Amino acid sequence: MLPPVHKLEDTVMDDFKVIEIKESVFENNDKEAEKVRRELKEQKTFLLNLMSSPGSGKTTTLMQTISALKDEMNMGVMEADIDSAVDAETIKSSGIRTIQLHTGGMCHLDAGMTRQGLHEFDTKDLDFVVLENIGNLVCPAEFDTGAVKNAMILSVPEGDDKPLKYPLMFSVVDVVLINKIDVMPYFDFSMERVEKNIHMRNPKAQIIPISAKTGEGIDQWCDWIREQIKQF
Amino acid sequence: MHEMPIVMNVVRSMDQYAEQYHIPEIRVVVMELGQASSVQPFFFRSCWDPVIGQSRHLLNASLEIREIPCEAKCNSCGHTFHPAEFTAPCPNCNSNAWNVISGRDVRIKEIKV
Repeated sequence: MLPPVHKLEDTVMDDFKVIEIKESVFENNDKEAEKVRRELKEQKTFLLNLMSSPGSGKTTTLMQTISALKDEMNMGVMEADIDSAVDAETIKSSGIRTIQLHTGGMCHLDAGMTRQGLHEFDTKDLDFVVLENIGNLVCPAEFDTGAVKNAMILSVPEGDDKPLKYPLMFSVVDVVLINKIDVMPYFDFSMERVEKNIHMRNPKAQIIPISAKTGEGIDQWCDWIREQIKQF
Repeated sequence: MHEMPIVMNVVRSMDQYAEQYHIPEIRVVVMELGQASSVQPFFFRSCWDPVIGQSRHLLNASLEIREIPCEAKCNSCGHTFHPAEFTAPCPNCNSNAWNVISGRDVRIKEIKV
C-alpha cells in the first residue's frame, strides 16, 4: 500500500508567499565537516576515515596498522557500527584507546556524529585516529565525516568491477587498499583492470595492494600514513 | 532507511528557520532531489508524515518534490550529457571517463507560507 501522498492540489489554495531557501542538505554537512577539520588541525590530530563493504578486512588491516605504528605515535580508533561492540573489542585487545559509536540504525556517519564522537573520546593528545566507518559502499561516501583523508578497502574476492558499480565511493577516497592479494590466484581479479576502473572515476587515487593476513604491503600503507601526517 | 535522517535534517532545519523568522506555519516545502543522489523520492515521501508530526511549524506542511536530472561531463572530450546509468559511456566519444557535474544534490529549494 502506497503511503499517503500530499498533492499540492489537495491543499487549500490560499495565496502562499514563496520564500527561497536553496539550502543543500549535503552542504550543511560539508560546513560542519570543515569545522571538524579546523578543530583537528588545531589540536594536531590526523583523522582518517576508513570505509569498505562488510568483510573486506577493515578491522584486520587496522590491527596490522596499529601493530606497525603504535610505538611511534599515539593512536586511537573510533568504531562505527549499527550495533554490537565486536570490532571495538578486537581493537581494544591491541591496547590502544577505542571508542564504539552506535549509529542507531543509520547507515552512515555524518560530520555532526563524528564531532560528537571526537569530543567524547577526547582526542587532544592523539596524533592519529582512525574512524572505522560502517561496512557499506553506498551511504558513507555521501557524507563528509570531517576526516582529513578518506581511505577505502576493496578486497580481491569482491571483484575488480566494483569501482564501476560504486562510482561515488571510489571517487571520494584518497587511497584504495586492495586487500587479500594472497588469494588472487583463486579469483578472476585483475590488478590492471581494477586500477584502470578506479582511475576512470578518480585519477588521483593512490592504490596499494596489501594482504592484512600475511602483512604484505602493510609497510607501504604505513608509509602513506606517515607521509600524510608529516604533511598535515 | 537512508532517507529518514535526511528528512529529519530538512524538517529540523526548516523548524529552526521558522523559529528564527517568526513564521507560525510552513504550508509547503519544495525539495529538489538530484537523480544522481542516492535519495529516492518514494522513500523520502514515505518519511515525510511521521517526521513533520514531530515538528512545531511544519505540522501541516505538504511536500513537493522536483527531480533534477543527472548531468555529466566527459573527461576525454568535454561533452556534457545525461547518462542513462553509471556504466553508460560518453555518447560523443564512447569514453567511460566522465564525472557527474550536477544532479547529485538534495536541496530545500523553497518553502511556501
